[in-house]
Amino acid sequence: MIASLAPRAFSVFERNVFVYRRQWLIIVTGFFEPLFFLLGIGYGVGGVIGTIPYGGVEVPYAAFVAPALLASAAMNGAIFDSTFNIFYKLKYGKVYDAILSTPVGVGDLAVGELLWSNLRGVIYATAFLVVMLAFGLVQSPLALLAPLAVVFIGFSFGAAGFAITTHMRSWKDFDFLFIVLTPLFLFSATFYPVEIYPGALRWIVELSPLTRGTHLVRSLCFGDLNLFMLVDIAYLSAISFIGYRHAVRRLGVLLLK
Amino acid sequence: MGMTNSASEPTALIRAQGLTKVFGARSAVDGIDFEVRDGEFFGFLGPNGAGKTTTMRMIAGVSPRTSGTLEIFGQDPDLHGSEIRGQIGVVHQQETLDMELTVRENLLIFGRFFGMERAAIATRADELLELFQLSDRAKDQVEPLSGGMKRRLSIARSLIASPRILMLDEPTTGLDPQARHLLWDALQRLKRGGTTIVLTTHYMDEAEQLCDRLVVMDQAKIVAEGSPRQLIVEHASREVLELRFPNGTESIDVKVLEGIGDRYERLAERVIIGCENGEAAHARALEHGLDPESWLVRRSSLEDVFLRLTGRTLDE
Amino acid sequence: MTAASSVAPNRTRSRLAAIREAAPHPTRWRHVVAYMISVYRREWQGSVFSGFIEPLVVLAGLGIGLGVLVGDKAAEITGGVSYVAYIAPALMASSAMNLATSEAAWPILARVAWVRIYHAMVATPLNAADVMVGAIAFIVGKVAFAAAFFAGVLLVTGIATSPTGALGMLGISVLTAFAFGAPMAAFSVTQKSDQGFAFLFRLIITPLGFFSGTYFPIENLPFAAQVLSWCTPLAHGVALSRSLALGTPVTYVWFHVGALLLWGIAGSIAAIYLFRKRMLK
Repeated sequence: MIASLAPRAFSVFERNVFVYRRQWLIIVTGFFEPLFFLLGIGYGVGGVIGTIPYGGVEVPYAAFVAPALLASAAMNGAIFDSTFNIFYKLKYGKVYDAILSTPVGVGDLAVGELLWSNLRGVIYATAFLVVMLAFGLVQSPLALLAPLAVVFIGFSFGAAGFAITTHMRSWKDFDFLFIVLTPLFLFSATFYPVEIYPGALRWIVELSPLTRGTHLVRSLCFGDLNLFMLVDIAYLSAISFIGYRHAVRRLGVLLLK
Repeated sequence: MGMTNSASEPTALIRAQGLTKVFGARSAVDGIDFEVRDGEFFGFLGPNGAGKTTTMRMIAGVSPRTSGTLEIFGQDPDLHGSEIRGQIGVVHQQETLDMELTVRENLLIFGRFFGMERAAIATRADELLELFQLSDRAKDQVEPLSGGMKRRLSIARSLIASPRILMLDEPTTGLDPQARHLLWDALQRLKRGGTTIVLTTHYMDEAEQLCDRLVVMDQAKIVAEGSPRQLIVEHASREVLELRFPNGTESIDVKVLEGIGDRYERLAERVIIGCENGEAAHARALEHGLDPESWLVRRSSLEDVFLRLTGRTLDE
Repeated sequence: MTAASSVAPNRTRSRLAAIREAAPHPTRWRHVVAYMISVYRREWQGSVFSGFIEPLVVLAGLGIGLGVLVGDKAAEITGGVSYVAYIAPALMASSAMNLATSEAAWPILARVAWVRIYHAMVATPLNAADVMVGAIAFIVGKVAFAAAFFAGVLLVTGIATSPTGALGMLGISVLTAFAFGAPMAAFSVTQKSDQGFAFLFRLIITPLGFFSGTYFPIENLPFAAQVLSWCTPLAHGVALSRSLALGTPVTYVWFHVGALLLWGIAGSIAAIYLFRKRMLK
């Protein structure tokens, strides 16, 4: 479908398929991280915690954590591709110069790269959903929509990551990325309900894009449809749009001198 | 070959008027006019930093111009960049091959960038690999290829969509003489096949060998235009006599030098004399009492033209 | 073989000479450390987060937050202290592992394969062993710095109960860094690209962080996993670090220390051997 709607962007996506046909094992290893978190925290620490209240009922801790890990797997899949890999291509590989000498333009380039980084997120999310099903952690058939919902997470983090990467000067700057990502992962209602935070702190946490993504996925996994899911989608879409626009503008500055 | 009926003016594929590009306070290209006609081999000759690459980038629609007009196939590259690039093959000065892909994959994915069908790309890719003698390296990674092979692959890649114009930025810089001649042959073949070729170079012999027409650029401006022969006739004499004086040339009388040929350049250990007939000039030099350690007569080259126009050699 | 026996004494002598040639010099490795420090002085900002701040972020994120959920049940596993106090000393050991392994990964690969500064070093009186000893010493020293900072925080917040305990924890972090940095260096000097690191970190280092008693007791794991866990260094580092912090009696102390030393020494020998092999190729 995308191939016929935006053939030039799709060809950029195809380039990554070529590259990763030989490196698929690297993609596979990325799947294990959320699994270890599920086993280590969800079951390991969960064994001590037992159940926690969610939506008025007591749910097993592992079932509470799993949707958040699914959401963050999508985030990680998208952001690592749109930061490290794109930085390499911008700075060292001269591939983008070659691509832009063809009919492909900067807009196509950004869309193609984002499609790819998003695919990684969707693959991780789907694989993790299978694990959740196998462990009996899925509470509602709506959970099957989770791999679709993570597209919003993938695009927002992919686009934001891409936009930030266009400002990076050297690999050293990536340390600052982790200064943001590690707390984002740990504090975004991933391992405990957002209600735990006192006062204003809670509202800061609510603004985290991963909190919104986690809320979206968790609602689906527990079959708890609510209007705030629309807020999640709108919020993540807005970040995607702003990130994309900025990335394209910066690509123009960097590559179309 | 290359000669057109004077009655019908050949169509211009690229036409620039007052083309200007300013970076901050520096003019990289300063109001140049030129035309590239269908089927010709056109060159931009000049030293590094003369504005050749910037001009090429503007033609390829990856560098918005500051002012002036530029038309490729009658269209403005700032407005129709994508359509124009669809009919142009570009070979960059620096290697821009995709190091994460194999030799053949580099061609395949480029075909996709041009929107070609997969089956058509595969046929064309194998054809090009054959033509550029890369078939036995098709499945290899790009990194370990030699410089000459990489350059051939870059050209093969730029031809994947059978472009009307092939643009090459300094295509033989860094190649050994043998690889260089192989490449020249390949380019001549392409031209005979009807492809319009635009290249930049700072090698005089390359411009002289390949180009039907060229412009000489210096400090963002075009300083001369014509065929290599025309330029030599216009700006240099037919032959050059070089006289060597290992003990220095300061003591030689100006009047003596003026009497030998049309003009002269006095260098540290050499005197270069432009003239109609080198042998005759040599005889005159001996008559005037000069006693060079050695001497040679050669045809004038673009090097002499450049020296004449800018007062500098290209290597400076 | 018959010919060999007649030159045996000679051969023993030359073998001894060969060993001396390959062995580290008692002091020359310090030049390598000096070089690393001069590089680090220019690039230190980059590792402040991964070395100093990240462990504290994880401590706050998992310790305090999960602590609320664990609540009173914490006593079941912690023997009475809070959950934060329970995981803090363990995180100190596991961040020593993280920092030591990543310092022994990309920086060493870069010097051996990309910028090839090691090639220049072994062209001087330094030999391969000096270079490896210096590289590992630098990594251990760097971890010691970060660990001292972390121990200071634990002391100030009262999580570490005594200054002697905090000092002991610092020693354990240094040992843990040695136990991970040396084998990791041995792996890095054999690599051509950094692809192998992705596997190593995602499939070994990450799970070790979870299943070495950091967040919950090893005894809660299935038996086979318990055995596996004790075969790796981190479990020993965590056990020692925790008892020192909480002031609980240390059981099997020499077993734990011995395991860490064994990994470090075996890793160092492997690193020297493999690095020499690569340099002399």
